[in-house]
Parts: sequence; structure tokens; C-alpha cells
Amino acid sequence: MSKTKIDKSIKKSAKIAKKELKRELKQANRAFDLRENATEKQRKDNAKGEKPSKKNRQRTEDQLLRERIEEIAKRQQVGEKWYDLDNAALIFPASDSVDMSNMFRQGVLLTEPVDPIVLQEAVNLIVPRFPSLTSALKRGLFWHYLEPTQTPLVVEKENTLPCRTMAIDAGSPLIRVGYYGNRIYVEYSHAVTDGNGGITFLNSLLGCYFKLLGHEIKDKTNCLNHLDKPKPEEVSDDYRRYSDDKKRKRAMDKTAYRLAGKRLPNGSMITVTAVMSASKVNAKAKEYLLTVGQLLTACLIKAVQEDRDFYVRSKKKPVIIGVPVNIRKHCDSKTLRNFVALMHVEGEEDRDIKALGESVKRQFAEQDNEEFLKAYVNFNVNASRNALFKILPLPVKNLALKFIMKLFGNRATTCTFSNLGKISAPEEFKDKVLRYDFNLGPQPTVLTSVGAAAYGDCLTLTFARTIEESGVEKRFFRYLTEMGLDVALETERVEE
Amino acid sequence: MKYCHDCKAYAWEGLDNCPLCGSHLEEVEEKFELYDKQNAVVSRPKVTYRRESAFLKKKSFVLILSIIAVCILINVIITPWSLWSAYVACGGLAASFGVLSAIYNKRRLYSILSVSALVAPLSVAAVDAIQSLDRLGNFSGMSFSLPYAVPGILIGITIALDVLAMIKKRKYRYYTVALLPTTLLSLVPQILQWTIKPSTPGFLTFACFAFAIANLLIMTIIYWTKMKGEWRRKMHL
Repeated sequence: MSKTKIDKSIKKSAKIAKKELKRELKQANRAFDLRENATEKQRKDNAKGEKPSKKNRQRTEDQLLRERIEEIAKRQQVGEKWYDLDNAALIFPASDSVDMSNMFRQGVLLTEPVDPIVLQEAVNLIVPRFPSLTSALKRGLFWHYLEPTQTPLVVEKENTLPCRTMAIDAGSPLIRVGYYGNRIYVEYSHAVTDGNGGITFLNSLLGCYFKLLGHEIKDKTNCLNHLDKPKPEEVSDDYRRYSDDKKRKRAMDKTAYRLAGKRLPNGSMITVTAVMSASKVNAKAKEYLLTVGQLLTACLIKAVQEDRDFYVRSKKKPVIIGVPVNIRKHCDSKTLRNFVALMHVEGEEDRDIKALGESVKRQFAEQDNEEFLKAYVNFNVNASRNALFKILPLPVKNLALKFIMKLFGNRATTCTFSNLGKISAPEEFKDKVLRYDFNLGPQPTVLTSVGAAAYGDCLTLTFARTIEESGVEKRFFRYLTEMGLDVALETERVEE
Repeated sequence: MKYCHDCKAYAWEGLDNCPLCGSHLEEVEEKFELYDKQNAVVSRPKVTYRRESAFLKKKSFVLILSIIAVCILINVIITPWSLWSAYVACGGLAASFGVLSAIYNKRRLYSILSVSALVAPLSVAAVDAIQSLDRLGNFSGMSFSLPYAVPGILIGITIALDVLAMIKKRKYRYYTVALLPTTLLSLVPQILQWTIKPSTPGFLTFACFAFAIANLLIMTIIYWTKMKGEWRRKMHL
């Protein structure tokens, strides 16, 4: 064979080998791709079948946490003693309806995120210390009464709008404790306590919580030690103790203007919380020679009046603000149950803030005194002491009270403004608690209510409304910003 | 920090629109010092409006009354010879007081049983009376309710309360208290028997009468100390 022929055959076989190699490589690549795709698919399938998505994982974690909290709550201990309702609370079980209940919420914003397990442990410790607050409502033949319940108070993660209705006679405690992020809140039924009793409970719970976290809480300002036994003066009905059967309350004959608007679904309630500097608001109030409460009441009256004018509604009925007064200021009372009276502050028409402020100041002076409060308490206590009313069976009493509430209840007020004032709390809370929040729950006819609480230099005002229109708070806060006060706003993140 | 130029107010980072006027919030350089620290730590959950309807809960009784009224109207106009609407009325009221109110008020078992001791015998007696009126035009045809059905139901409920009081150690006082109204109701058939038809022997009604009294006495003796406290709560003035 010649040399050229040999070379040609070599080249030819090399070409063939090259082609085969290419084919092999192609096949190998295809096989690799197929394997890779299969692995990827399998990985995806595995992810679907075994590993939970982030959302599912979160839900599972929440469920596990909830189960653990419920396990801890089972260790809760309760007393044996039962209590009759205080004079102010008698009306609440009758006035409660499916979508309206007399609830209010108090909460704190902490510097650190809340540990729910520790919070539940704190709740377990504090429940026996507050027997009247953590009891359940029961029906008697003539009256409701409070009885320790076997249903434990379980801490819950916030997932609804505030102050949702509580089945008042379901046999569970008439309070709720919840948390979310850095916030702890407690929701109370007015049948068991008022704002001041609520703050003492919240402070005691916080004190216990911080102690369990290893902090030292030595100061006992407005904070009860969970190791102490409940004292009789803390659970007494001080309305009866305070009344003297002499003066009677003057009849409130005026019917107040009522706000109108499109109701939120099923008694849902939206809150708008505003954070302000307490010292700056105080300085502004002093400019007008008023207290903070008086200045804010005057602004609220003005806001409602302007809102009414905006919607061209009748001016026949006056704007009247219901302002609860803490009677404990006027007598030596340590009760944790209801002990408040309600002042009615009427707004004069076509006045500026300064003139309104003077009028509010005068009305505060007329009503926030011992004589008025005694008369108020006597009137209510005497009504409940009526022998005929007492012997009526509970269902008949409830019907009568419902009827009275429909006819006269809440007709005398346009809005409620409840001011807790400066919150007293242990010194050690200062570097742990950023602020206190306070808001009232939905009420049948009072469509907007305002709660105020000040802690350190932080004043929080919370508007709670059951209507879609936010005209009153818009005008209210615009007055305050026009006065040169800084305001920061928060609200719920509602998904439509 | 977020700011509303219309309301001249700062707002929490988690919001896109002003809670007062709905305007879009804008980021601004200046800060509200007091709120700055809070702004970083505030968090709120996403929530929805309550969608569950409370219509039936609120209006179920009115709805049932309306249905009964319509039935009576149709009965009177179209079929005046029959009393079928009376059965509807009887069933409707029994369902409202016995079932719906128990569901909506989340009644406990002891409460359901004591309410049933009133509602069930009344319903049975009413059905008996209606069928007698329908058949004969008077009440002489009432034959099964008073002598048999009503005492039978009451004895059954009394025994159920006894058993539950013994089994449910933590809640026995509620069951023992529920025994009192049930016992009082158990006396009624025999008292009626004595007053309406004294000549007719009512074996079951007398058995119900005697059993209820003896049972209450025995239960009171067994559970006296705890029952005393419960009575004081229930009866306080």
C-alpha cells in the first residue's frame, strides 16, 4: 500500500472517530441534562411533599407555640370565692349584644419583642392575685355574679381587630391577654373593672413578666405583688361604700347630637393611635389656662361640630362629650372594680377653641367635685336598691334594662373621651416600656370614642370608631397640628 | 420617616396611606424624635373585617315568628278546615327556645337539660292538644302527653342530671342546681292529673312525682355542703 493511501485511510478513520466522539459527547450531554432535569424536578416534588413553604412553616410554628402556651395555661390556679357585680357593672350584661360589648383595651409597647411563653407563665402567676378580674360571669336567679372559672386565661397572638365581642356568659374569663411583636395588650369587659383597675392589672402582669425575664422590679407603684393575697378592699363595691343616701343626681334631660356614618361590617372597629409629646401638649394647654384633658375635650367638641356642619346636619341637638371621672381621686379607695362617674360636657355653638376651652373648664369644675360625684353615685345605688327591682327574676330584669338602655342609654352623649392621665408605674419600667395605649370598644350608639394615656413624655390618643368616615379625628388632629404640635399616627393594617 | 402633607402628621412605617385622609404618605428627611424609636419596633398584624354574619343570631326568633304568622295566614285563607299551621307554630317555637337559643347562647349541658325539661313537655303537650282539636274539635282526645310522654321525658331528664352530677365531679354542683327546676316541673303532671282527671289513675305521673321528690332529697343529702354555697350564689339578692 502506498504511503498516500495509508495517510488517507488514517485521516478517514480519524474523521470517523471524531464524529463518533462528538456523537458520544452529545449523548452524554443529553443524558446529563435529563438527569439534571430529573433531579431538579425531584427536588421540587420533594419540596412540595415534605418540606413546608415559608407560610406553612410559620403556621406550624404558631400552632406549636399555641399548643405549648395552652399546656402552660392548664397549670393555672383559681380561687373559690365568688363576687356579686359592682353597681356600675349591673347594666353591662344586659346591654351587651351580638356585635357590641362593653370592652376596652390597654396595652404597652416594649423595647424588646415579647416572649409569649414567659408572658403565659406571668399570666399564670398573676391570675390568682386578681380573682374578681379573671372570673367568669354567671347567671343567678336575681342577679349575675362573678365566679372563678376552670377555663384558663390563655395568651393569644393578635390576629383580629381590637376589642372583638366577647361572649359574656360563656364561662370564660372576662379579660383577654394578647401580644404581637413588641406589644402586650389586655382587653377587659367593663363588667369586671374600669380603666384604673385595668392599669393596675397590666402593671402587675408586666412586673411579673419582667421578673421572670430576670429583671429586678423593686418599686411597687401601681403594681401589685403576685405573691400577696387578694385584699378585701381591692374587690369591694365602693359605690355602696361611697353613697350616703342624701343627694340625688340631677336628671340629664338633653339629648345629644349623634354622629352618623356608614357602619363597618358586624361591629368591627378601627382605631387610629396618635403619639404626641406630653410636655408640649401640656405647655399648649397651659397657654390656654386649661388642663390637657380640658384642651383635648374642647378640640373634640370643635371637631364634632365642624364634622356636623360639613355634612349639613341639624344643629338642634348639642354636641355632648361623656368624660369618665375617677372617683378614687376624691376618696380613699383601693378597689380594682368599677369606680367611675360620667360627666357630660356640652359644647356651645359657634365658638373658637379658646371660648370652648373656657366653657369646658367651667363644666369640669361644676361636675368634677365631691358633691356632684356623691349625687351621681347615690342616684345609681338607690336605683339598684329598689326592692321591687331587686326581686324581679334576672331574665325580666335584663329585658327591662335592655328597654331602658334602648330608650335612654347613650342618648346623652355624642362621643366618649376617657383620659387615664399620667400612668403611674414602677421606676424600673422606664427603660423597658416605651408607651401605654388605651382605647374603648364599640358601643351601640356612641360611634366614636377617644382614649388617652400618658407615660413619660409620650401621650397616646386612640380614636376608636365603628364607622368608615374618619372626619372627626381628621379635624381633631388638624387642630393639634395647627397649634404646632407634632403627631405620629398608627392604625390597623386592614385587608379589604 | 413617613409624612402626610395634608394632615401635617407623621405616620408609622408600615402604612402607605394616611389613616386620617387617605393621602399617600411620603418619606421625609426630618424626624419626630419621640416617635423615632417607637417607629422601629411597632408591628401590627394584617387583619380583616369580621365577615361572619350575625343576622340569624340576632333575628332568628323574629324570623321564626314571621314564618309562623305567614303559615297561619295561609292556613286560615286556603285550608281553614285543617290546623297544620299550629303544628308549624309548635315546632318553630320549640326549635327556637330549645335548640337555637342553646346554640347561640352557647349553653352548657346542665342549662340545656333544665330548659329542655320545660320546652320538651310543653311541646309534646301542645302537639297532643292540637291533634285532639284537629280530630275532635275539643281537648278530650289528649291521651298520650300528660299520662305518658311528659312524665317519661321528665324522669329521663332527672336521671340524666343525676348521672352527670355523679360523673362530672368538677361541675356536679351545676347539675344538682339544675335538678331543682326539673323536680318542680316533674310535680306538675301529677298535680294536673289530680285537678283535671282525679278519677283516672296516672301510674307514670305518680311515679314521676314520687321519684322527683325522693331523688331531690337524696341528692341534697349527698351534696348538701357544696350545694349550699351554690344556692347562695344563685339566689343572692
